[in-house]
Amino acid sequence: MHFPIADVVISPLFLAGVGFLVGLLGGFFGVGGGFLAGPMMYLVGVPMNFVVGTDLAHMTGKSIVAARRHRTLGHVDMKLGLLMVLGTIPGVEVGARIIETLEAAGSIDRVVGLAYVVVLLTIGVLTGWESLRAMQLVRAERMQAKDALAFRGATRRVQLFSLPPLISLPGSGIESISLWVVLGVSFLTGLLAGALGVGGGFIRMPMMVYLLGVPTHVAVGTDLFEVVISAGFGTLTHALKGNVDILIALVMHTGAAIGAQIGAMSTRFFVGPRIRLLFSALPILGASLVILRMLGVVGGG
Amino acid sequence: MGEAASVIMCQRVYWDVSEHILAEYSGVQPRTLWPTVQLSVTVRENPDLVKSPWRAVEALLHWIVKSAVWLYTYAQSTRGGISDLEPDCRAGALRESDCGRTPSRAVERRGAGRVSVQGGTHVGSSGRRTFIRNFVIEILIYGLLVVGYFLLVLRLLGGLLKGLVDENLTLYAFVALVLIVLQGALLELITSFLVRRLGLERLE
Repeated sequence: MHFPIADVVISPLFLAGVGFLVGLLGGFFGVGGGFLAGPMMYLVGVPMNFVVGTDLAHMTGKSIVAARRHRTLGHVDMKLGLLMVLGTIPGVEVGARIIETLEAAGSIDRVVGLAYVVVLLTIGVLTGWESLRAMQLVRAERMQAKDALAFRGATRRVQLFSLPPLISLPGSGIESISLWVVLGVSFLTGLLAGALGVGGGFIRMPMMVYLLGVPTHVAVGTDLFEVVISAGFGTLTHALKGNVDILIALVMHTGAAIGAQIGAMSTRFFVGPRIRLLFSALPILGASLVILRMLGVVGGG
Repeated sequence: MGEAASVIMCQRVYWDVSEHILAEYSGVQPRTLWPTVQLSVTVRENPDLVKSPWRAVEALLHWIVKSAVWLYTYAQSTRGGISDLEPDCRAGALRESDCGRTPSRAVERRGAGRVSVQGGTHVGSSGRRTFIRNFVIEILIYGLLVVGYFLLVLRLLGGLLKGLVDENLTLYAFVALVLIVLQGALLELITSFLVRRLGLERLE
């Protein structure tokens, strides 16, 4: 099928299939899925400038569907989501500027690539280890499965920081937390996302769980809510530059919307530690792709 | 149409074959495998299988049905056996006292991420089956709507959108955002409405 805006010929079934897969992952883990959809689009010949914008457009639609579904399940903390957006936006901006400054000083592709690999592997391995440990504790009946966390030390320490104003996040079951902690964590995730050039879903979700103490299901739903805002904003800015092929995005969304519904609903059937265990494979997969690209085994952008 | 039907038939055969091959390697019973795996294999090995939007739609519908069958089979095969399938006790969505119960009519959100069950009955396989069945029907309706929406946009607005990109990027940007938001939000609302009209219970 010919898509006149990007001027490419791609099978719509392929696009819908990729969309479905990304939607499924997004609905279940609360990630945007750009690490998968972007390379796939590039692989079938979508020009690079359209890859980013179109991916953001389909991500917006998919996240709306998944966030709405999570909301019906009580998994979205709107207050936390909006506060996180406030911290994420300056974080992304600062991260992007740091990269610009470093780039002006010389080529930093390899440095960014290595940082990306280190961050993703750390998240993947830590999340995997923690969730396995949590599941062991649940099996030994030392902990309730509901939202078992193997280590709460970081969460406790973060929550002990009580610089006013203190806020409550009833949607996440947090009675009292400093607003600065929420903004700080979201700034940090934004900074990493901006510096590494990623959407940041797979950084934000574990940060919310381990640092803020948000239940896994709520972290997934709230992350999606945030993706709606950030991806929507990104779509608009990219579309203004003519970098969005909305027809490709709509085809991808036919699959993604269904995948997102199934993914979001599937979270009902999994306990928190199991979601985190499955999630831990994602950053490791992302890191592997970057390693392969750095070694020149796979191309793409 | 005959050509399209033959494509679908080829896919069915391919699915069945791949299902058994994968079953042999994975040890999972045929008919319980994830259809997406098969779809990706189908696409990779038959890049020219689908060339027109109509064939793509037909194939996609078949795939949706296949996914629905998989989901239903999965629910059937795990009846009473899955520890994770007591969702809300663990997900933190229901009250502690509601553990072991499933929503039979409606689920009402009561702030603070807590949800209470109205008219809840003990979880039974029939409750779970009803839940899965309703969800599958909902997904099918939704799937039809999103595909229909895309075809409608393609037919009615395809040329116009291309013209907008060349002439008025600002308008194009807003139209693009509206189109994707509508596909995401509006169709979901229509689905909810239709599901209610059909008298199916839905978790909300």
